[in-house]
Amino acid sequence: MSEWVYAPGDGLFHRLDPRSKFFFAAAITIYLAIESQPLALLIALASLHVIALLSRTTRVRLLPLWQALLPLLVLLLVFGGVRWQPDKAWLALGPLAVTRASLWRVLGMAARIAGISLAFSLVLWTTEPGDAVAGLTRLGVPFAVGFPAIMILQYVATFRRQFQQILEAQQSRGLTFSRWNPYQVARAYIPVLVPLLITALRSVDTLALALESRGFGSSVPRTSRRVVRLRAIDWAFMAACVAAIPALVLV
Amino acid sequence: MTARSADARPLGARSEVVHAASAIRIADLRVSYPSPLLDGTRVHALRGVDLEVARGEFVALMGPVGAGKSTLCLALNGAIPHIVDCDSSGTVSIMGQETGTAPFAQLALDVGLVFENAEAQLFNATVADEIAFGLEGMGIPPDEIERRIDAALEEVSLPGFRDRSPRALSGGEQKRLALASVLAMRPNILVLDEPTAGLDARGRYEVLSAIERLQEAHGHEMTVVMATQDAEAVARFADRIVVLRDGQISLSGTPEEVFTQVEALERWGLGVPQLARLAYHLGLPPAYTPECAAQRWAGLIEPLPNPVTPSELPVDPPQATIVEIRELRYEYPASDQRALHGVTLDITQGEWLGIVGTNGSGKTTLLKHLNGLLHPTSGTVRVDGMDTRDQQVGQLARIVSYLPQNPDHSIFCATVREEIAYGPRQLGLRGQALDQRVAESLDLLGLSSLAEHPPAVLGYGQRRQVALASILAADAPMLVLDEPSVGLDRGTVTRLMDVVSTRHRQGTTVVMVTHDLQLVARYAQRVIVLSEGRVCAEGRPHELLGDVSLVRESGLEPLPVTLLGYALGWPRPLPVQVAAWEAK
Repeated sequence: MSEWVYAPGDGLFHRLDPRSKFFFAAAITIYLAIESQPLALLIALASLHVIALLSRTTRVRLLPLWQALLPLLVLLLVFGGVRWQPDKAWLALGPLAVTRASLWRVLGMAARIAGISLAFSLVLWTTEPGDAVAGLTRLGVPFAVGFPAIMILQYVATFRRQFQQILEAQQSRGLTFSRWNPYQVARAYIPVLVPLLITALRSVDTLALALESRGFGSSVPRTSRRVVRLRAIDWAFMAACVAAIPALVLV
Repeated sequence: MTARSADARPLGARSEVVHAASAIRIADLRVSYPSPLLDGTRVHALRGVDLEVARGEFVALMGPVGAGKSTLCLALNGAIPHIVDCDSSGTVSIMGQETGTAPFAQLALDVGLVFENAEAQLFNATVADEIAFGLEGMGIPPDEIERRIDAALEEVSLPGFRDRSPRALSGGEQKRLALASVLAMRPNILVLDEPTAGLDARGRYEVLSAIERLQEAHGHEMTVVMATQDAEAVARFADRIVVLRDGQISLSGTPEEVFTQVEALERWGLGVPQLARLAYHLGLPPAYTPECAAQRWAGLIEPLPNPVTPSELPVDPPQATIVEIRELRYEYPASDQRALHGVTLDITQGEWLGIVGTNGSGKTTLLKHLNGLLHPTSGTVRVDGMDTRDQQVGQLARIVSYLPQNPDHSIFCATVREEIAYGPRQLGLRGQALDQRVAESLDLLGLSSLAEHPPAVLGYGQRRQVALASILAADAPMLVLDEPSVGLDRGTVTRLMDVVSTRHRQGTTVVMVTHDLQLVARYAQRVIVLSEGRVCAEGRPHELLGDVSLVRESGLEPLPVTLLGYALGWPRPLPVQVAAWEAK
């Protein structure tokens, strides 16, 4: 999925050491998790958008990210925002109502989810996977853990393409999705999901063999061609992150 | 062990191969896997293989699908017995170390294994990272890693690809990258599992020439074992051929020795170089490359009269047009590049149309317009009079049945019978009519005995048969086949194509995309050549494939018999003559 894949660029985030970006994502996540004021959460989300808009590479990916998040956010708004309180309704939907309190609460939750997604996306969009692995390794994460965690994101795009190929093959055999009954729609996807699973399992077999055949998990200490180094700009960026969070809390 | 004759190696400089010591020794190797049916039985993949390969030798492993070639490849790099879930006995010795006792990490340094599915073994974000991965695991210093990346990319002709994503490369480039990532580790032995499957002529040539250049660059010290169905490549590149059948070695010798056993090879379902087959049928001295045949057969063979020209052919009664394509242009949504540039084409009811072209020429994009999977950016596609824009894919499935290249993209049912019934049931067939249709398809493909088996656990060839049976059961008036011969042995290809041929004789229209020009020459009535999204040539197969310069300009490799004709100075050598010669 292109929403999660690195794209070359020369913005500020691209120039940072992966570790300072991990720090940024962790700090934002902690802040968004503990902040309870919807307005502050929305301001934090807006600030993240400002950062994303600064570089063309990240700017053009905002829309696809929102498209990917949309189903989840709609469900959240529907199930979290609609209440049986017609007397306090801000917006009435027959016997159901959206109250001001429930609207603010659900907007805050949506901002939290979107903010955390955007913070991690900014890291992934601007960090070469090899650098990300090197950064994790320098932070003490074992290579055998860090490499698969980053590698799996590369495979999301592969699985997405396979999903499309399988969908096309089954549509060619008469598969249709015209029914509106959710149970029937779910059933209609079985001919797509089962081959996807089988294909994935076959690929994983080859992948495991290929990894082992090229020394993954060997006892020889690994070297790395990727040089990651914390420079003044990284320290300054992390300091700015530390300073920005109390500022947001005060807001 | 002897070196093969030099006259059959047009690309290489090696005239004599000296095999000083064994690189590989295999004694009584037996490997079995638990049956995928989970019934407690075992599948015996290798049944007592004895093999010795000399240092610097290029050995081709041939055999039908399921003969045990891939298992043997895995045994060579120690994945068997170290990683793969199987029972094994016997000994495999690699450069003097027994794989059963040597650590797998050590064996991986000696034996570089390139798998058939190149994409599945490329797991890094950039080409440079891909090549560096194994080197980093070996503890090589970063400076040396950079040098080796450059050297490996040079060796496989991919300079300037360092920062590209492996997933954005073409099939041939991915295979060469997989090769480079293994080569950078400087193995003594290179094991390649179907390195050219699914590639066009240019891709095959690039991969095979890279291997040959490597052997030359390494002073013929590098041993190569290549599992393949590609008889023409084997004839040009291998020192020795080992034929595996049912897990045992049935034949071993130089290409000259093996390719004189045409009858046996064909009986076993294996491909034979076109000229070797011709030599056998006409009783000519053995030869299997055009250069060699031109030398040995000069004066011994006369061209048959050319088949009648199209203008001399009786005029067929006009047939209705089943597909009408006008000025079709197509751009993929996320791409600036146009995949099709104004294709205009009619497909007549009941004809067999072959579509050829290099990888990326637009063949699959064109196919996907025939059943509505894609809609034109501009222009029109009409199928059976209906504009595909107005029809759902599921509705067009009544008219067009599509056989994808990968059978695993369609198989999902618990039994073969259910799998075959799925398509016709989606199209509304029920009850006795459905049962009868399924029974006919099972019978046609020889799958009746497997009807209650889960299709996903069958062998690759059988899964392809199930996929074909399931689209034949839909009984659509038009079949669209995407690379029907890829990854299959010649025997299975012939079985599948004969079934399609029977259906074609009953009036079904067939559209076939393939890199296999021998398949086109044998079955198609008309062929179009696509190049960069345009139809650059169209005609009858014997006319079009007989034109060496046109075929080459289209990025394809002329058939050996056509090249032979040119070498002998015949006016217009035609592939169709092979059949006539053989009949004679």
